[in-house]
Amino acid sequence: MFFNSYEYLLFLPIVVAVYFSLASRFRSVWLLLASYFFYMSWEPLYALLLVASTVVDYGVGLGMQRWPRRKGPLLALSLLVNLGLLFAFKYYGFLARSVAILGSLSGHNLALPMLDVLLPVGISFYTFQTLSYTIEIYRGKMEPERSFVQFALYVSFFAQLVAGPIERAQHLLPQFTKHHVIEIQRLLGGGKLIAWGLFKKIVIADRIGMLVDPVYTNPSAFEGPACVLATFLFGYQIYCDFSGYTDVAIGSARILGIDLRKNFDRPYAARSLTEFWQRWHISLSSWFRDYVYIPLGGNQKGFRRLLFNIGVVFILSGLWHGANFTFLAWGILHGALLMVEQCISWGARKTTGAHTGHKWSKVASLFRWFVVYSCVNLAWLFFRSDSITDAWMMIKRLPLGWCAALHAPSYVFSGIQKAATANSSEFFLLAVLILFAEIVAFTEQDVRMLDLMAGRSPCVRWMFYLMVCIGILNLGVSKAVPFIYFQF
Amino acid sequence: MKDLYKKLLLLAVLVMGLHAAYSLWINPAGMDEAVGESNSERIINSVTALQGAGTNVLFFGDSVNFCFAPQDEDKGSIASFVGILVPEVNLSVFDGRAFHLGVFNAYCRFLAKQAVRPDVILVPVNLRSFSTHWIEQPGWQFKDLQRYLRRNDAWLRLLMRPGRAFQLLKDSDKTWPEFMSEPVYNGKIEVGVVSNYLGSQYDEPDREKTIRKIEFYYMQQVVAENSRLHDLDSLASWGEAQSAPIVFYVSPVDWQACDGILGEEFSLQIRRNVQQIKECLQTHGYPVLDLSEALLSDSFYYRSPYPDEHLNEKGRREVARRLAMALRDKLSQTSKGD
Repeated sequence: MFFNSYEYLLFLPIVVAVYFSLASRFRSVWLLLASYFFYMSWEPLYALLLVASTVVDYGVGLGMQRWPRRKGPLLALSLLVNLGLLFAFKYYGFLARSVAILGSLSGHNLALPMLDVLLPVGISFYTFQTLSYTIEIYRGKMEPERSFVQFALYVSFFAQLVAGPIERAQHLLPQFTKHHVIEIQRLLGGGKLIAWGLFKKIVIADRIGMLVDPVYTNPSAFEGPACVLATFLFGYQIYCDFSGYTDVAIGSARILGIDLRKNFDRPYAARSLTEFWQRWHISLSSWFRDYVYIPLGGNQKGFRRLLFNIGVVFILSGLWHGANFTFLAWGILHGALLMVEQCISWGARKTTGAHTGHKWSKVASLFRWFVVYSCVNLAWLFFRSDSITDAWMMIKRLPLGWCAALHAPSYVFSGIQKAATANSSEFFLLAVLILFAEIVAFTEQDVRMLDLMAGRSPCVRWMFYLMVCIGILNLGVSKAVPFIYFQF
Repeated sequence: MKDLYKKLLLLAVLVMGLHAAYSLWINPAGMDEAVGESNSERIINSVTALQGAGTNVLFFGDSVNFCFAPQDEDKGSIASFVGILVPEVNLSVFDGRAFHLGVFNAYCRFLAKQAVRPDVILVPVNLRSFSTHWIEQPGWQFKDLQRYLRRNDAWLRLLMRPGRAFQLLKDSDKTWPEFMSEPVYNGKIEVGVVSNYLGSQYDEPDREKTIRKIEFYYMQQVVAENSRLHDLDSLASWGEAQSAPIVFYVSPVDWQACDGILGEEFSLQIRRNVQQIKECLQTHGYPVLDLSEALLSDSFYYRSPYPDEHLNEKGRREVARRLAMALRDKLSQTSKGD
């Protein structure tokens, strides 16, 4: 059951109606049942993994409180079970394939037995979420949850189960025990966020996907301008796709009275890569910061160690996204670019004595934005490619075809147009939609979508709502496409 | 709260009104959007051909009609050979890769709604199309095309875009993972799931794999519940009600090669399935031209390393010859009837 399916549009109102009609003590049980129903709509058997992860970490949490001296082994058990499940279902196949490749390169038969299993939906998200719970108890920053139902709900809450935001127990768990009443503002706010999220996903992201997919499916058929255009478009596609998903997740939870963490903060406005990672997939970045980067020493153990820590975090981040060399390359590239950025900052501090936070001129600031935006999009090339061979092919094609494109700019579009069986009006529509989304994002600034329209005149508000609704109903791509981050 | 309900109701009414205006008048979904550019072109070409003067014959086909062997001197389709053999008729071809009886059934009903009535309709009954391999394969279901052909009305235009975007209207009722876990039958016995019969392990053929592929393609018993048989039954019952002159023919399979590998068991299963098809059509008064065992192995050209029903020039010409004879018979019957 995807968020962009009619099943979800039926499921959510039923869950909300029953939730608010029940007495407080039954609400968590109802949400837990609904969450398992939601998860089992993909593959019922994989709910067992969710149960296993829940039972182990619930037990580990209570065990740490009861036997404080055995916190270490108990944490190790939690790590072993959760990362073990992740490894078995997500990375074992990758390892087996890699070993086979190494074997064939070295002339040896190193084949490992292959496991023919589907990747359980959301496994990367819920294992990280539940791991944060045991780590926080281990660190003594929170008390374990005594109610199994509440804890099970924390692991499986349907709104953020399959693609985040990755919540911290201290933030989410207390919200389940509160008594929530129907609030019109929350209902409307949540509804608006859901509509805006669906608009970004169905109307913008999927429409961009129609143009991007043909190029990445057959990169050898395209030259530099088309490859660059497709890559930059993909950058916007994945943003609209993932932030659209997040909006639906936050909106759904908001209706139920639960606040989820912000996961995006206009990432493409970043003027440094460090800033980009503070704005993109915030819940994952902060997870890696708190549980990998800082424990490794962060920036407190010298400059070389800082670079090493960055490398480790981004290799892990790349692998977290998928068991494929393309994601690994994406992570390594981001890590390398961040290291370069750190070196430049370090060099600048050494030579000028300037500290971070000094004001840049507008031109320099714009230049920094351009460099960061280009680097981020270049890295998406690896993320989107189906294989390293395809990514390499794209890179080889990048220098080609620019002269022809300069003589006839329409040439850039014609190849993609032909492959995507799109016409010029679709490019125009797409440009208008992207501009619309950017204006909304720019106007939004720090104001959340749900508050954005509150101060406008009724006429503007209603026009906006109608445009979004009609857009979803009519400008959506006719082929339903799953959210990109569902595969992780 | 009452105020809120009123506002929500007003918003819903406005959205529905604007949506109706947009999808019915401002920018209605055309045939291209509904069924794809290539299918749209097929429909237009076929309908245009059928509206011509003279004797109009509608020729349905799947890939067997147009696939050829690289060494063929004449790469013409079966339909084109029939056209040469029966030059006095106008042949309107409606064919496509993996097209099946469900599509043909929907197209006949679509033509009836357009008041287009062919003088004869030639319908191939491909034995592989009754297998899980074909019925459940996501890319081969053509639900969008069938939906449009059966129900090209305002409701469809209203529902199509949002229905597709929210996965209410799909081109297939199975996803690939679901398809891969569908059961495969030999006779009536379940012998595995689709994933056991597809994949890179079949890239290099051997005897064992060939047996499994033949099992996958042809050995499923056609039972009364088979959805393809329902399509056939529905088409025949429509034809009976409309007194439509339809020639049903079972397209050939490479029985010689398959018998050589599986033994007589293969031919026996094919005959059982053909018998089931015959019984279905007989209830509606239609005979069947059974070409299932009409050709020897030298008339086939496989599209994969495993036996299938695609033909080389020799095979296509022979099928065309038999169809031309059947077509002439049918035309003479219908003219006598007139």
